[in-house]
Amino acid sequence: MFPCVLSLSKPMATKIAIGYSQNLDSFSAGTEATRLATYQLGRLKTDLIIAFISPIYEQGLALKGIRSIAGDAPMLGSSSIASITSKGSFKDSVTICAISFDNISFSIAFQKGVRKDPRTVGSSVARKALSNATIQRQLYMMFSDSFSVNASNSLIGAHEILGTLFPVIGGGSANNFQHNRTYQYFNYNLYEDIAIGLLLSGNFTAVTGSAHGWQPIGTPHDLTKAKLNIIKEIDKRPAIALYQDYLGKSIDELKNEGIARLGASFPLGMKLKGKEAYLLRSPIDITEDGGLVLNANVLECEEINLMIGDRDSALNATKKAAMEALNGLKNLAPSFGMVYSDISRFQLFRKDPQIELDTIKDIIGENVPLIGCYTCGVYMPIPTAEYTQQFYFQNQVLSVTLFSE
Amino acid sequence: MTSYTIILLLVLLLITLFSSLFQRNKRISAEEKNRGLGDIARQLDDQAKIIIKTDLALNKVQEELDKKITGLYTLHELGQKVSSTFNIEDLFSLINKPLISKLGFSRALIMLKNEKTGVVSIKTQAGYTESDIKRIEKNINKGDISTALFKKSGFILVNSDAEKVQHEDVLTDIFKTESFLTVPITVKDEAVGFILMGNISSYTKLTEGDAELLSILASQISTAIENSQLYTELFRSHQDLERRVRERTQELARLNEELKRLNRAKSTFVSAVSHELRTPLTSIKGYASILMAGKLGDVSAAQKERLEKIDKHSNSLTRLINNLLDIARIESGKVQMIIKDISIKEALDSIVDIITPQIKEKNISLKIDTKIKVDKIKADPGQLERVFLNLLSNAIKFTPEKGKIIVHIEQKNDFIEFVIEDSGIGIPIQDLEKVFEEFFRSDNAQQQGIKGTGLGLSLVKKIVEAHKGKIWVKSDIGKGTRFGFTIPRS
Repeated sequence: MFPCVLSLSKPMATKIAIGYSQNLDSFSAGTEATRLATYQLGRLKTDLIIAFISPIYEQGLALKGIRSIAGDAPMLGSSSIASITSKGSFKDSVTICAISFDNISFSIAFQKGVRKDPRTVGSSVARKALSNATIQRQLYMMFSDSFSVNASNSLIGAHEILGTLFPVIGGGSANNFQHNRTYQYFNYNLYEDIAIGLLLSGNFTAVTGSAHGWQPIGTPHDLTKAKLNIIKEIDKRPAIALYQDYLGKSIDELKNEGIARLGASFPLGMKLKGKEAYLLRSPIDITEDGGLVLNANVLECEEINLMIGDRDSALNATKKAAMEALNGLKNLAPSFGMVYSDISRFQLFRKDPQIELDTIKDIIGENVPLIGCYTCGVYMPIPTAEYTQQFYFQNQVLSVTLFSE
Repeated sequence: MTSYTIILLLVLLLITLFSSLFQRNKRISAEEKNRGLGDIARQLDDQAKIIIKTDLALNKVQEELDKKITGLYTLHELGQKVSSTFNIEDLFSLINKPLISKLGFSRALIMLKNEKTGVVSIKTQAGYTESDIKRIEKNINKGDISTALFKKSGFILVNSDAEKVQHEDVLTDIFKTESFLTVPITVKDEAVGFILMGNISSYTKLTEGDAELLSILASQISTAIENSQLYTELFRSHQDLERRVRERTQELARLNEELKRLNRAKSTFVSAVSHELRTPLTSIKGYASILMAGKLGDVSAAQKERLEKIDKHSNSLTRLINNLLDIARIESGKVQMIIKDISIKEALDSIVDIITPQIKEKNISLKIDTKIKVDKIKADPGQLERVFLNLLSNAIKFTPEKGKIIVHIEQKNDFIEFVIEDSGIGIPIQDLEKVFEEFFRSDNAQQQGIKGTGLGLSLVKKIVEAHKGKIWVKSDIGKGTRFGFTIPRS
């Protein structure tokens, strides 16, 4: 763990420098991206390195490359198909965010074993991060392995320590839709079965806006049997029958083509009781008896629908999320932002993920530094009362968090 | 029961009948409406299914297109790097995991056959462990399993859900990849290896489009191997040439040193011999003069004639020895040029005075053609006089009667160029290079019976070079010769 409280004599804002490389030599890509980022910080000390490395790279070599330039600066990160930064959205890249904090202090922590017990691991990471944090705790960022992990349980675990209304951003590490291996990085070490936490404290304001833009398609259905993160039956039939009906494929075809991949395009929408909004869940596996395994818990809902996304409504959602974050700051100017977008959105925008980034920049301003990546599910807020909101794990979502110092 | 009661009962009955009829109609209508709504919902669901299936189909086409574009773009970038490398190992280091992933595969192998041993070995790979590599190399070299992989034409495409022919099953076991594609690498129309790429995930089906992509890569590798071989050959040949040039240069340097040593020895010898010859020659000449003067008694006419010949040949021998000594001195640097400002006109006038009798004797016309503005030059006056004297004497010697000699004087940049042109017998072209060599005499000069020592031009060359000038000769047989030399102005 690297607790870090800065005390520079001259107050100044957080400085974020972004470097990226698409060199196909993994070590060189690591060094190039880090050199580019740290160079831009100039004489400022690099307090924290956040790395997003595409799964095409030899992860260990890329990390060695990063360390060869960054030295001992505290570091964390996650694998992702593409990074999202104010400089662009970079697919198949090593992207490095070198950060020099002033008003913000941070503590980072990690814990292994998230696949087996996400809730305990979620608690443990939050506890470690909290033990080194200063009192003005404001925001928690969490990444975790996405392979057979119930991500809502790791969030529940974190909330048990930080408080149920404590803002949490981030999501599950992503890969190239294979859903077999995802990677996390902590202080230049490579991991696969961990959760990482970054707790930010200090005198700043952070507001998160989020939206998905997916629409229900077909008739609503009844969720008749479910337990934790498995939907066993829909309309009193094995849950997979819904996909068989609508996609016109057999169970074997759905298994062969990857239900996770198909589910990213056509997730399940749960209409929460008393609300108009749909909470989205992507299936990641099929059980022996035709149940659908989700990467987060099933919520009590009125009805369940198959959902479909299109570029226009997804972009409207992007605008909505950015506006929500900006309006939340009231009249404060955003200093920097963090963006996490579900991998299904990358699949939807295909060759043009930049359009989503441009939409955000149009709203928050061209010069606001942004860092983030595509994740497998996103932590995002849902209003619980007039002035409160609780963070949930959801698929297909984009979250924009704006910071003002 | 009163009629009023009966009527009331009838009315009630009618109302009940009407009511039940109305309810029935209402129920039927609601049922019909529900059925209609159900039909609409079913229709909507059916339309939703069509939309989803269309979306899936479009997505699949788009995915394949994206994959192909990314693959081609990646290969284009690789091609640019390949074209700038001649080292085959560098090429293989470029075909790494990131590149394979960008091409849309999770496993890859490039195996090449050793030209001499015929053993097939892995040159680069992605997605395999060390033990996998050893096992694959061992199995692929067993029997004739690799024959199918080395077929020049075509490719092997195996998908996990497709039926496999016998060797495909064996290859699936060897490569530990359910879906794979192999393409041969051919160099000079011969298969020297193959590329394998495959996927562990059953989702991605391999297509002929993938085979086309892999064929492009195979072609790039083939070109790179050929380039590398050509480069290696060229490099070796260059190395060999460099070695031979180095050896020859060393040999030439050694021979040059030997020549210099011999030349020094020759100069020393000539100098020593000349010195030793000069003393007795002086005595011979002295005694001949005494005898001719009759100081030792009267000499007869015949004796006098012989004594005059002794004197004449002694003088020739003295000039020869002096020339030899001068050449040796200039070569050894013992003679320093005493450079002074001199008038070219004056220098030439004094030479003309000397040679005038010979010119008149042969009725030769001598012309001085000067184009210089400043009549000044820095030179050793005595040595410059020897140069003019030698060249003009030669010109007179080799020019027949009534011939002409022209001395051209011209300023060329920082030099004054002198050209002595005659209308003499000329020098054969094969002798031109040798005329400045010591003791060389042209054949036609000897044939014409013109006497000389073969040292004059050698001495002239040494003097001109000692002034940092250059000398050259041009000649046409039967038409004449042009001897030119330059002397720096300052």
